[in-house]
Amino acid sequence: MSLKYIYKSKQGVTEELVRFISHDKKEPKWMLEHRLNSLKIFKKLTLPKWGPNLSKLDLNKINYYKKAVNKQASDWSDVPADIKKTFDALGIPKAEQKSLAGTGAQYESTAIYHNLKEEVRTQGVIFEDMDVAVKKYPDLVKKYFMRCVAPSLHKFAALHGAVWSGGTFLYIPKGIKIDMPLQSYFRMNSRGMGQFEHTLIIADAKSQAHYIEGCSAPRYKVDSLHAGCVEIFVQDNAKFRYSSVENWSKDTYNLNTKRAIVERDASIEWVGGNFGSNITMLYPCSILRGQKASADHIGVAFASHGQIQDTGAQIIHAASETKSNVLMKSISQKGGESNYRGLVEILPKAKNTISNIQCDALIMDSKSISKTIPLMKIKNKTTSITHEATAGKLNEDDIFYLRSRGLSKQDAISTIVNGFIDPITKELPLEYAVEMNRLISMNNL
Amino acid sequence: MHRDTKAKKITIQPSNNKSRTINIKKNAQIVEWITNKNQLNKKIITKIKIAANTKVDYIFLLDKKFNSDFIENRIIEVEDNVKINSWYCYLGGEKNQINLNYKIKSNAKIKHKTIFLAKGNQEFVFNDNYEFLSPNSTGKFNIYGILKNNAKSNNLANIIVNEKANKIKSRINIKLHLLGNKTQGLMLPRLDINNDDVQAGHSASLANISQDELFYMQTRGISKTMAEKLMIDEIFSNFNKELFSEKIAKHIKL
Repeated sequence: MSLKYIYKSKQGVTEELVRFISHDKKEPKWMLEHRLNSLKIFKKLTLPKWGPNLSKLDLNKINYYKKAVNKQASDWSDVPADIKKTFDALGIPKAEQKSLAGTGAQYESTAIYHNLKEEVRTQGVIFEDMDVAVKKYPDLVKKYFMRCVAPSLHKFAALHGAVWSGGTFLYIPKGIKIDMPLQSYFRMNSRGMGQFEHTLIIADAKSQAHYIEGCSAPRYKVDSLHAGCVEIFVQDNAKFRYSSVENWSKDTYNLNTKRAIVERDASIEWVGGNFGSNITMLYPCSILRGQKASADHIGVAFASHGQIQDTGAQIIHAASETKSNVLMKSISQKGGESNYRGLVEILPKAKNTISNIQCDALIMDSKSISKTIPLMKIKNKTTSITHEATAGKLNEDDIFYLRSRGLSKQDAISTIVNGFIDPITKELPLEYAVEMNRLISMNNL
Repeated sequence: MHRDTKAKKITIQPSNNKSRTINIKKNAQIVEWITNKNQLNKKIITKIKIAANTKVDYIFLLDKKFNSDFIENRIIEVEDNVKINSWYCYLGGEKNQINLNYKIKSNAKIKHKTIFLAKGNQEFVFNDNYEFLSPNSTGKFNIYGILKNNAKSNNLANIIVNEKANKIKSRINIKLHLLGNKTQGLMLPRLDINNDDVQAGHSASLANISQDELFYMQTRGISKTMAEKLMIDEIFSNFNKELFSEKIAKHIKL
């Protein structure tokens, strides 16, 4: 693609770059201070000493800021043709017409398109590019921005705090229920790129909504980095579902941070599919802060040759009568490694909590690896926790049965694998479920 | 029912003064019973080697009377075609740290049960690795923990299946019972699987008397304290099943 960029930063992250990003976006002073403070924290923190080895990731060879457009569009016909072609191929404009209440699209560091259906906008719903929201809704953004994911959480949260760009701001007012989902799609298109979009969602009391994120990037044989951040605040009695399918290229380090704070009688559902990337480290976290709050985490990870999918779920039960359910499936093939790394923590004040965790791993060949690392910290005796995990290969009897019914071996295997992940795919929007099945077929499972 | 007690006292055959390895070369029923610190200084075992084609029943008991900190670092090397039934029971001690590492070769069948009781301000760290090195072995590993008062426990148990160890069937079950208001438990059952031809699993749960069960028992005149005692008795009773020493079984209780 011969797209001309308006701005492309030098490799590496510096104070000069951080100041430039803030200046370029015409941000208020508090945001610049936040960025500079995050940069200081980033410099102090070391890479995680647990999990996959990140020592080959050279943070000095990443382009942290790249702009393709100066102004975002609210009509696809205003998006530059080269960029629109990419999103057309991904089927985004078509999906918007058919089944979405609002759509956002980001290309490299900045949003190129954002639109919300009029009937939803009139209900008071705010769905904006994050860069716009900082200026348009400063009080609301300042109150919540990086309060759920603090820059000190880990090195990549700090990096994100310093160089974040683009993303989505979604506010659903009290009592508003949106039937159709809202969606944002993030595309990282050039080599050696870093993408740091920030998603901030506030579901006000008694509201209900579903938000979907999709991510992808082409392959360049040069490392790229995705260190996005998702913060969700689910207020009293609200219900929120967050779905994502991440299919980054196999030279991308996907080091994403997603967290939700869930208040009284509110619920969060995380539905996720992780396919691409070189290394993924992603553990969506629910902090159940209000009484009777609940969290459901459902996900599937797929690791093939050269890939490590280190994913899982974290739930902190901080209030009484809170509930959590985790269902995770993973598939490893051709030397891939898929790991479930989870945490359930029951704090001393959290009485009568319930947590159920189930994770199943399918290992397709002898070169592949699966690890299950579920940590449970229990500081209240009234809790009820069950954890169940299995790891193994495809059942030969099942394959034999399907072959005796006329299926080829390949079709028999694909059928069983699709059945294995069915509890996850049925929770995804149809387009994503189809995409997931297609990805599995493409990988000759 | 318990089998008749024909347990042998363990005999330690050190190859040099510092070594604390024991070699089990033929079928044996072994009891290792620790009651005081002096005994520990002489007899702590860091490695057990079990020769091929042997059947071993093994009881380890850290007695209630033992009232010091207790550290156990032990490797258990299991050769081909070995069958092991083992019962590890920890009732005493103060700050206890148990590191148990099984190295398992082919065609072995292992049943390993652990029970521990922690009370007062006792701290218990349990770190088990069950490593399968060669094909065709099975392992079932059960851990029961009972915590009272302010006791804390960390329970880490790891099944590791190496690349060459196919046709392994193995499972860890951890069950914790928190009975004190300030008790704390940490559970980390891990699977580290490097071979596709494996059936491995683990479960971890926290089991307590539910409010409904307690209410039912109270309507039948059973107090909360008595209900908890009944529950603990049941846990010990399950643990003691198939124990080969009647004498030891009498000591393995609350």
